[in-house]
Amino acid sequence: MNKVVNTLLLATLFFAPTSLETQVLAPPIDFDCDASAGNVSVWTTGIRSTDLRVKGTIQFKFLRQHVKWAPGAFVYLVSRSNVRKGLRVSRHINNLLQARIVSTDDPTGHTILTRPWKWDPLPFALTISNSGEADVTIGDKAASLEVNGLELSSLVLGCSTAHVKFSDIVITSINGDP
Amino acid sequence: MRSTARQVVSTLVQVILLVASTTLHAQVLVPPMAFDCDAEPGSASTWTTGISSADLRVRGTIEFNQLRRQLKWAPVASVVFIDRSDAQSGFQIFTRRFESKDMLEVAMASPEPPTAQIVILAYPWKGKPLPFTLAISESGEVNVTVGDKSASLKVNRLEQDRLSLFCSAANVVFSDIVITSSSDDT
Repeated sequence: MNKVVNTLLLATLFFAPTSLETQVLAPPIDFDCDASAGNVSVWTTGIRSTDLRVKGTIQFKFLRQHVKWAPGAFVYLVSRSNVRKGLRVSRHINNLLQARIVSTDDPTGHTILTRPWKWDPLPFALTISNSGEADVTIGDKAASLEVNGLELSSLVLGCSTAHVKFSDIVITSINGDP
Repeated sequence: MRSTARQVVSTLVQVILLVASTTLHAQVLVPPMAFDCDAEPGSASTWTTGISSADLRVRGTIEFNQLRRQLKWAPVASVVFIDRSDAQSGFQIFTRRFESKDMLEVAMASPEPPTAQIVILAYPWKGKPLPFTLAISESGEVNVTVGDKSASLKVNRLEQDRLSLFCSAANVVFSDIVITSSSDDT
């Protein structure tokens, strides 16, 4: 019995110092992203390659005009080889909000959500499972993201030619998520 | 006796599970992070996170890539702790609107008037990234180091609940940002 207790005590001592870093920041994160016309504001963080969930809301506050760049917001996963895959939300013609899955190879991407434009916060989530499968949810729509074979290294949230508020951003391990 | 031992083991297992789950959380993000902050005059981009550690250190570099001056608005960037009443403690970097236009000034941000706006460094804005450290101790001492200059001020640590990176009227890149507790900082 003493051996069991000793082993458990050692395990506790092993985990305790590493858990200090977890206690440094307290979620959620807010990113009030206000990019001038033709420019971007971007928050980038390194990530563990798998077992990750990012959730929060995206809210457009103001749209700017630029001859070349449409106002938009994005949530991307980026690989070590700089391949980018993820979600782009923008205002489409006829006053529609459109969310698309885009990638470096396919910047136009495919649409997963189209709805009448609203300024309300739109919930989103992005998950990468232990097996490396990624899923994106925005509003009531979901899609999978082909990231197999990519060594994902960064998560990028940003906006272009618009004022966009990312709120209540919580980034957790899928397993550790309550 | 046997039941006491079982209780001890059970408690230890629970502690391990609790700590292990929070440790998992820690491993989700891998520092450093970066914030490419762009904002027009009169607007601002801000990255904000809650803080929970008793002591905290933020280090990284800051570089102004573009200044967007207007008559009314001057370029500014800041790294600050924010308390429950929205008072800020840390530092801000700004240009004067009408004089020394090629110079950036680094000043303390503080809710206390004597400390606020004390300029600790002035430097030409075009150049390389400027290293900085902002730290708060358990006793509420806030230490700022920008370039080779340092200053400190005192706040109520218990009131500080957020950390914020901010820019306005400029394109400012915050790079290699690492946020740690002082005790585990290497």
